[in-house]
Amino acid sequence: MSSETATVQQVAREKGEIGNFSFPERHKFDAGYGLTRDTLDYISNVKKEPSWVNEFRHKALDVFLSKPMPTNWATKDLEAIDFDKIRYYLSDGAEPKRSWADVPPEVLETFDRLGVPEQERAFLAGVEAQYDSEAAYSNVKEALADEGVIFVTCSEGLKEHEEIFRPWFGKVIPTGDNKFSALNSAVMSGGSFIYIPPGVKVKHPLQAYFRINSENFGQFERTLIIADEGSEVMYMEGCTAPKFETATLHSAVVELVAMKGAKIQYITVQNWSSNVFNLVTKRGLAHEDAEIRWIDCNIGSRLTMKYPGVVMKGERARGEVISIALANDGQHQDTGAKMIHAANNTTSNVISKSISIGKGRSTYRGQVLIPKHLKGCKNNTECDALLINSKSRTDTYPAITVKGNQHVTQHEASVSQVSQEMLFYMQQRGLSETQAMSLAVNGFINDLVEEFPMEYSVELKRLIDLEMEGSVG
Amino acid sequence: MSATLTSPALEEFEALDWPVRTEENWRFGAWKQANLSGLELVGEGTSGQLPKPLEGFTRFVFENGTLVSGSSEAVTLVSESFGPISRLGSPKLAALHTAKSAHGLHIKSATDLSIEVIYFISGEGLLVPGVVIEAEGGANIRVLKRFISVDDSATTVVSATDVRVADNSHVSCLLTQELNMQSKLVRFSDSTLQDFSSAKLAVVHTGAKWVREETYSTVDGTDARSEIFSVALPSTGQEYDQRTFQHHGARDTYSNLLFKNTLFGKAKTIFSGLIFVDEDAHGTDAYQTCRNLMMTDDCEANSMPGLEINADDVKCSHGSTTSRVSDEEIFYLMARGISSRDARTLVAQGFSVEAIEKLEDEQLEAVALEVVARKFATVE
Repeated sequence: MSSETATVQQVAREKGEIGNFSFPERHKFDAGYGLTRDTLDYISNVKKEPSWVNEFRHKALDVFLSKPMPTNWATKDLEAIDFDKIRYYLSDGAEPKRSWADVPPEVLETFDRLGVPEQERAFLAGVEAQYDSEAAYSNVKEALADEGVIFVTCSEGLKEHEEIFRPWFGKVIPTGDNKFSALNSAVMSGGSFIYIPPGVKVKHPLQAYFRINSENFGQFERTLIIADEGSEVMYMEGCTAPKFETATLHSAVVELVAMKGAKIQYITVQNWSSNVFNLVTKRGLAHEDAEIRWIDCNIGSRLTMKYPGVVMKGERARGEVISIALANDGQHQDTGAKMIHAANNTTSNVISKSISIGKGRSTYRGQVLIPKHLKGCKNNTECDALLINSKSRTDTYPAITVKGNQHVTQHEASVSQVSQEMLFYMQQRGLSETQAMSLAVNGFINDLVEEFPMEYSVELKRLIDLEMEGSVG
Repeated sequence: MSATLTSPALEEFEALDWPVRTEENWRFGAWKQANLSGLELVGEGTSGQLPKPLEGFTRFVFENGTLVSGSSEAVTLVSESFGPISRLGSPKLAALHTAKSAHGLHIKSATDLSIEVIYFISGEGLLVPGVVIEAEGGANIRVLKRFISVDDSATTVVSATDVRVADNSHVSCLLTQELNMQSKLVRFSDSTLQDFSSAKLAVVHTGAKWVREETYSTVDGTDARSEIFSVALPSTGQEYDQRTFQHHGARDTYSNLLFKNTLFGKAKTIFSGLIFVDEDAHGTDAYQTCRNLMMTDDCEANSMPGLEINADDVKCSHGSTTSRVSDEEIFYLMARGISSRDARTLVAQGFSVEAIEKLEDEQLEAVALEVVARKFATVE
C-alpha cells in the first residue's frame, strides 16, 4: 500500500492485506477494513456530510448489528461473508486504478466478443477511473437541465437538494427493512439522485454512465429517483460487459417514488465477476395511476439476492417486474419480486425467466400481498425455468396472501429443458450443438429481452452465446 | 405401552422445542397453536351415530383410544406409535406422537382389501391415533378414515398415517375430518412408493378450529405414481395450515397434487407445497396446484407453491390461483331461475367436486361428497 493512502485503521488494514486483492491499488480515500463507528465518521468526513446524515449512518449501524443473517430462509452461503475483511469505503479521486497489463486476458477477450466500445472498456477494466461521457452526452445533459431535471450523485442530492431529497430518503426502504439495507444505510456511497419535475417526459434513457464519477458502480450505492406528477423516466444501471471487480460484497439500496400518474422504468443489467455477493434491496412506491417497472437481468456474481418490489399505494397504480437470470457454475441467482397492493384496483405483473447452466442454481422468490378491505386488485405471476445440464438446479418459492374476495391472483411456474427434437432439428440444418443450444436459450428469453433498450438486447444475446460455450457436448 | 419403550421417546420429546415464529415452515402459520404443553390424554370415549355401512368394506370403530368393533386378518391392533418423522417443521409434535400413542392400526395385505375406520372422538384432552397401511404383491387397498366429534369438547388430535406401497401395488385412502369447532388436529401423512406402484391420498376438511397437516410423499420407485388431493371448507373461526412435500427420488416418476380451498366467513388457509426432484430423478413429471375460492371479503388465503429441481430432464409445474365465483357464472345460473345464494353454493360445490372426482372410486367419492354437502348446508 502506498503511503498516500489515508486510513483510519492501519492495523486492521495491514492484516487484511494478506487477503484476496491481487491488483495494486492506490486509493485517495480508504476507510480500511472492517466496520466500526470510526468507519462511518470517516465516510461522513470525506464526503463532508451534514450531521443528520452522520446520525442516520450511526443508527443504521445499530440496526445492522442487531439483525441476524436471514439464513432461516436464505442460502447458508451468506455465512461466507466476513464483514471484517471488507473495505467499506474506497474512493479513487481521479487516479487510474490499474494498467492494462493487470487486466486478465479473459476479461479483455469478453470485451472483444461483446463489442464494447474502447472507451467503455478502459473504464470497466478500471484502467481509467472516469468514463469520459462529457463529449458524448453533454447535449443530453443540457436538455435535461433546461427541463429542470436533477441528475446528480446521491451525496450531492442530500447536500444540495435536501428539501426534495430528505422527505423521501429512506421512506420507501426503511433502514430496518433487512440486514443489508441497514448495512447500506450505514456505509452508503455513490449512486444517483434523480428528480423529474411534473409533466416532464424524459426522452432518452438516463444512464449511470452519464455521471463522471468513479463511485458510479460503487459497492454500497444508494439511489433515489423521484418522478413528480405525470412525468416519465427510464433509468439504466449496470452494463452487459463483466465489471471487473475486486471487492466482494455489494449491497445497494434503490428507492423509486412515482407520484400521481408518473411512470418509472428501472433497468438493471448485472454482470459482476463471480466472486461477488450482490445483496440488493430495490423498491418503488407508486401513487395514484402511477406505474413502476423493474426490468432486471442478472448474469454475474457468486450470489445475487434481489427482489425488486412495488408498493402500490394509490388507486389504479401498477407494478411490474420483468426478470432474466442466468446462473452458471458456482453461481446462485436468487431473484424475485415483491408486490404489495395497498389500494383499490391496483394491478401487478411478474414475469421471471431463469436459465441454469452447469452446476448453476437459480431461484425465484416472490411475495404478493393483498391486505384486507381492498377491491379489484389483480396479480399475475409467471416463472419459467430452463435447465441446461443434468447438474443444473432451479427453485421456486412464491408466497401469495390474499384477503377478501374481490381480487384475482394467479401464479404459474414451469421447469423444462431444451428438447432433443429442437436441438436435432437445428443441428440437421448445420448448426453446432452449442449454437443450437444458444439459439434455443435466446428464444426462451426473447420476449423479455425485447423489453430492454436495443443496444442492451444486442449485447445480451451475445453474452448468452458466450455463457453457453462449453456448456453442452 | 411398556415403560421402557416410552422413556427414550419421552426424553426426545422433552428435549425438542415447540415451533417458533421465525421458522420458515411456520411462515404465516399459527405457531402458538402448536404448543400443546400440559395437555393430558383424553379419557374413555363415547359412541356416536354410525354412518351407513359401505358395501364391501370391513368396519373398525374406535371410541377415543379404544377399538370397540371390527376385525380382519389383515389388520393388527398395535399399542405403540410407528414413530412419524416431521420433515416440515414439527419434530416436537411428531415426537409427541411417538411418546404418547398407545393405539394404532396396522393394515397389511397382499390381496385386495377395503377397510373403513371410524374414530368417535369426545372429551377434552389429547388423542393420538396412528395408522400404517402396507400394500404388497400387487394388492389394491382402499381405506376410508373418519374423524367424527361426538360432543362439543375441545379435543386435540395428533394423528399419523404411514402408507407404504410395494412394487406393483396400489392404495387409495380418504380421510374425512368432521371434528367440532373447538377441536384441533395435527396430522402427519407419509407415503412411500416403490416401483410401478401408485397411491391416491385424499382428505376432506370441514371441522376443527385449527388444522396443521404435513403431507410427505416419497416417490422412490421407477414409474411410481403419487396423487394427493385435498378439499378444505373452512369458515369463521377456522384456520387450516397445510404443508406438502413431493419428493422424487427415482427415474420416470409421477406425482400430482391438487388442493382446493373454499373459504367462508373469516376463514384462513395456508398452503405451502414443495416439489423436490433429486439429482438423478430424470424423467420426473410433477404437478402441484392450489386453488382458493374466496366466498367473502373477510377470508384470507396464503399460498406458497414451491419447486426445487436438481435434475434437468423433468416436467414440473405448479400453479396457484385465488379468486371468487365469477359474476358471469352467477348471472348464468340466475337467468335460469336459481337464486343468487344457491347459484354461489352450486358453483362452489362444483369447485370442490373436481378434486374429489380424481379419486376415481365411487364409494369413497360418495362419502366425500356427503361430507362436503353437509358443510355447505351449515355455512352462509
